[in-house]
Order: sequence, then C-alpha cells, then structure tokens
Amino acid sequence: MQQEISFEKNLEKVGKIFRVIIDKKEAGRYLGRTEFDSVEVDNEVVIHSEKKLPIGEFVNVRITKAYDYDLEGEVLHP
Amino acid sequence: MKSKTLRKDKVNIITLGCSKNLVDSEVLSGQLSANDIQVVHENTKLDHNISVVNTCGFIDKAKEESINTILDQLELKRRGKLDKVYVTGCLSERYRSDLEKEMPEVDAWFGTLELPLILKQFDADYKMELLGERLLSTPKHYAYLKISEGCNRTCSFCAIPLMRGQHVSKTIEALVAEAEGLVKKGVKEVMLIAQELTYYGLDIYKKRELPRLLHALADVKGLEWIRLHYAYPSKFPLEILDVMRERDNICKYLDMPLQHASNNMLKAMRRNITREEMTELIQTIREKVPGICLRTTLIAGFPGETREDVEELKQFLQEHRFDRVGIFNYSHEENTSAFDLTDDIPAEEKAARAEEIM
Repeated sequence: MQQEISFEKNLEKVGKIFRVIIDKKEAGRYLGRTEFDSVEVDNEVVIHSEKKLPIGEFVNVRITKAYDYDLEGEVLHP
Repeated sequence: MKSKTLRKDKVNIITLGCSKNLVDSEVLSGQLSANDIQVVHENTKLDHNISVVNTCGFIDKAKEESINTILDQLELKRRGKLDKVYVTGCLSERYRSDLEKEMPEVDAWFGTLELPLILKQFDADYKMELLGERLLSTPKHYAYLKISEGCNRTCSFCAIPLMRGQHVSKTIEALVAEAEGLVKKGVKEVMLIAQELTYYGLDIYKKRELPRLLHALADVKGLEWIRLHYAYPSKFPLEILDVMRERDNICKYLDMPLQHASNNMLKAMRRNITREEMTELIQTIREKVPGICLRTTLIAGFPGETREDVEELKQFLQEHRFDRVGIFNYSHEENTSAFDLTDDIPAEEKAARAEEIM
C-alpha cells in the first residue's frame, strides 16, 4: 500500500528541478539526494552524466523518471 | 605471549545498529587516534590486530546480528589473526553478565557509558578537550550530530532506556562548536539525531529548546542542510515549524516515528498521544511547512493488535500519505513493560501485516 503512495509521490516530481547533493559514483552512474531524502533510508536520485560530477557538491537536477523508492534525473549545466 | 609484541596496535571498530551508535564509534576512534593509536572503521583488509565490536541490543534481529559478529571476530582470534576482541555498546550494556559467561574468549566488555574505561584498556587517556571531536566514518560531506543521550519516555515496547539511561542534552554551545568543527572538515549536511529529538533542552534548560538550537545551527556558516530525525510527536514544539520555514538551510524534512494509529494500540504502547492529536499535528505541520517530506516508522504485531487496528492504521496512512514509511515487526523484549503482555501475534502474521502496510 505505502509502495503505491511512494510511487505516486515520486511521479509528482517528474519534470521538476531539485537541488541534489552528489553522494557517490557507482557502476557508472552518480547517486545523489534531494532536500527531501535522508541518507540510506530514503530515495536516491540516479544521475547519468557524461561530464564528471563533483562528489559532495550540489547540482541542479531535473527529474526524468520515478520508481517506487528512487528517482532518475539529468543534471542542468549552467 | 606473542613474539610480535613490538608491532604497533591497529584497532578496527565494527559498528552495528543505529546512527547513534555510529557516532559513539566515531567518538571512540577520535579519542584513540588522539592517543596515537591507529584506528579504522569496518576494515576488510584484516591488517589490524584488535577488534572492537560496538553492538546493538534493540530487537531480536539486531541482537542476533551483534552476537554473530562477535563470534566471527572470536573465530579470527582463534585462528591467530587477532590479538584482542573487545565488545561495547547496547547489547553489552544490557546482557553483559550473561554474555561474559557464554563468550569467555572476549577480552573485555564495556557498557554504553564507559568510554574512559575502554580507553584505559589501550593505556590511552580520555581527552576532555576533544569534546565532540570524532573520526568520521561517513563520506566527507555529511555527518550525524547527536544532540542528546538517553530517553525519559516509557514506551512499553522499547528497551532503549534500559541501555541508554535517562535523557541528557548537550548544550547549544557545545553543539554549535561541534557543527563548526564538522564544517571545517568539509561537512555540508548534518543529520540531527537523539533517542527523542523534541525533548531536547528540558533537562538542562528546563524547557524544550530544539527551536533555539536550530536557529543557532542554522547560523553556522557552510552548513547547507540540517535534517531532523526521531521527533517524538507528543508535546511537539510547534516553533520548530517556524524555524524550518524561515531558515533556508533547515531541510523541509521531518522523521517522526508514530508507531501506530489506533487508539487502543497507542494506549497499550504508552505513547501519550491519540490518533486525533496526531492527525491535528500532521495537519499543522503540513500547513505551516508546505511541501515538507514526512517520514514515519511503525510497529506491526504489537500484543493484542486486532484486524481492526491494522485497518485503522492503513486508513490513517491513506489519509495522511506519508512520504516515507518504515515498519518493524514487534519484538518482545524482556524488562520492558510490554513484556508483561502476551506476544500473541505469530511471527509470520507480524511479517504479513508489515508486508500488507508496505
């Protein structure tokens, strides 16, 4: 039941832009979090980027896809 | 004795359980390191000769994991890979006398408030001037900030006060200094933790001072995100919401464990709050901080939980649409007041209820 709620809430984020902190790079993709996600227990934002992203820094990300407990997005370069 | 005693000691700290325990490990490693002892966290290279297991004693599963970890370390000691195995933390605090008998190969046991004794074991001194100084085990850009120890609540299911004692808040000055120290190391995000966040200050300032602490932390330059975990709902200081709205670097995020929603269960759990009061609080939170992310944790299968209780909880979750939910299967813990009740929901049924809710 909560899984559905979580997915619906994540869907609402698609197309929107969030400030994301980049936590790490794993298997060729970057993993970050928005203000609304804490470490380990919440959503991660999966980011595919050709350009190198700075770990531990903030970037702006447009959410492109929602999963039950994760998001996917692209970096907006200034 | 060993012939290689000239080798310098290298200590590996293994942490189980929650973020509060992790902070304790970081404080211990900060102290050891200040005493010129080499220390690492969760070392997989096995190039250390001493292990310290910082255990968890919260619920069945956690206890089992802690015991298995100690046994693994003892096996390494038996095979000559380790010289010493020490055990500290909540499990040790709660069951030391039994464990000492069952695992005599452990070189020493320590409780949750015995940091100076652990250091003594290493011929190290407890350095007061290091107050709040930690060797961080998290990535450089975030860290946990433990604002108080212990808990004065008497939730019937909870063994934590048995292991962590009464509530003791750190001062605002000490926490600001600690946060400034973290920023100097590169930390941009802190997660405020405690057994009960919203009680903060009642012991040392005679009033709930989390809002004042938040303002003081929000003033720390370089701290970009401040996040709140483990807020207890009863007597929630509403000024927190004003601070959250006013200050850009306080995340619009609140982790507030509610445990259940049916009044029968809330009463049996001794939560000091009703479903109606929780509803009012959640509405106020959402009104005052639009867009806030609300996280909660629940218990499935508490003694006497009926089908109606489960339905009521589900209805409550549908009504309030939490952004995140975590759920634990009820664990029957000795020396808690719920232990006097009958643990009448079978394990499979607890798991099925948890599954249904998730």
